[in-house]
Amino acid sequence: MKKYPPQYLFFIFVLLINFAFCQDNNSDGHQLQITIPDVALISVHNNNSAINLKGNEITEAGKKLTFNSPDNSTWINYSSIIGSKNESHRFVSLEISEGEVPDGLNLLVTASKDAGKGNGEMGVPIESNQILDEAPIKIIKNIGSCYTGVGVNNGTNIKYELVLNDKVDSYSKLNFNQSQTISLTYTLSDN
Amino acid sequence: MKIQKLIFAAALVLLASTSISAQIIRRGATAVGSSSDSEKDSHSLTIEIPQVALLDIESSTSKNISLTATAPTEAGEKVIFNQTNSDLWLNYSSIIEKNASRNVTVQITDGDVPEGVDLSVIATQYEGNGEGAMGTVDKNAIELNDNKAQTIIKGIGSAYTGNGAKQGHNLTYSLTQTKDAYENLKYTENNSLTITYTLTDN
Repeated sequence: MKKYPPQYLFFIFVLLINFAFCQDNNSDGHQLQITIPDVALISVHNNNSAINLKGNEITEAGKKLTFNSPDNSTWINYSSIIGSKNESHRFVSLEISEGEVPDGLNLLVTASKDAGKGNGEMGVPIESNQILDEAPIKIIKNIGSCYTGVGVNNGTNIKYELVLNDKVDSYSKLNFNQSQTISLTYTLSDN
Repeated sequence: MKIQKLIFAAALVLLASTSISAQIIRRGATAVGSSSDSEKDSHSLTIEIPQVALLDIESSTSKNISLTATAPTEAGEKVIFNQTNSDLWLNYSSIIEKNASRNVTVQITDGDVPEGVDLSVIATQYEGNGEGAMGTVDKNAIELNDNKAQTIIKGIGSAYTGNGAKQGHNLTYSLTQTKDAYENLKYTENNSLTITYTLTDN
C-alpha cells in the first residue's frame, strides 16, 4: 500500500469537513441592519427681521406709558427623533443669551399649541405667561419623535409681551437710556 | 502508520455521513434465464433522478445589507425613508415529484423591525441562465413586520435558476414610515435582523 504522509491525509480530512458544511440546503438567511438617525433640530422663523417692542408715544401730559401690542410673529420649528433606551423625551427652553430686560419691565413669553402641520409627539406648550429673566425657562415639554413643518405658521407660535413689572417702584425705574437689543436663544434639550 | 489509518478511516466515515447529494447507485446486471445461453439476453437498468431542493441567497457585494433613514437638515422637516436595497438574488435548484410544486417563504428569524417603520420585500420575475418551471412572484411587496413565514414565490416545479448574482429572482427591500405613527420612531444605531428564505413543498 502506498504510504501517504500525515499532512496529506489531514488536508483531505479538512477538505471533506469544509465540503460538508458548504453544501446548500433548502434554506438560507442574511443579515439586514436598519438605522434610524438621532435627530434634534430647532429653528426660529419670523415674519420680521427683528422684533421691536416699544413704549407708545405719550401725547398728553399726565398719562402713563403703555407698550405696543404683544408680538406674535415668531414661530418655533423643530425635528426630533428620540431614542428608546437611553432617552425619554425632550423640551424646549428659552433664555436671554445677550443683553437684559430694562429695569421696571417684564418680558412675558407664551407658547401656543402646535399648528398641526407636522406629525408625531409634538410636546406640551406652557401656555401661561412666563417672565423671561436671567434664568432659562421651559416653554415646551414632553417632546417625542416629531416634526413641525418648516417656516412661519408651522410649529409653535410664540407671543412676546412687554409690561411694567408689578413692583411698587417699577415706574420710577424706567430709563430711556436702557433701550437695547437683546438676543433670545431657544434650545431643544434631552430630559 | 496506525494514526494515518485512523484519520483515513474518519475521513471515509465523514464522507459517508455528509449530505453530499451524489448518491451511489448500485448498478447491476442480472442475467435472466438459466445457465444456458440462447439467442436473447437482457438486463435491468435502474434510473434514479434525485430529489433536489436547494436554495441560496447570492449577492455581488455582501449578503449583509443595511437600510438607513435620512435625517433632516432643517428643523421642522421629517426623517425621510427613501432607501431601498436590491443587492440580493435568490437562486434555487428544484426537482419535484409529479403534480407537486414548491414555494419559497420569507421570514424574520431573528430580531424585530423597529417601531414606526415598515419593512417590505418584493421579488422580481426570474431572470438568468437557468431553465425549467420557475416560480411566479407576487406583484405586491410583502410586509415583514411580524415573524411569520410568508410565501414570496410560488409554483416552482423542476427548475434551476443559475448560480450567483443576476441569476434567479432579485430581491428589493424597502423601509417606509408607518402611517400616522411618527411618534413611534426611535433612533437606533444598530438594529440587526436575520431574514430567512426557505424552499418548501406544498
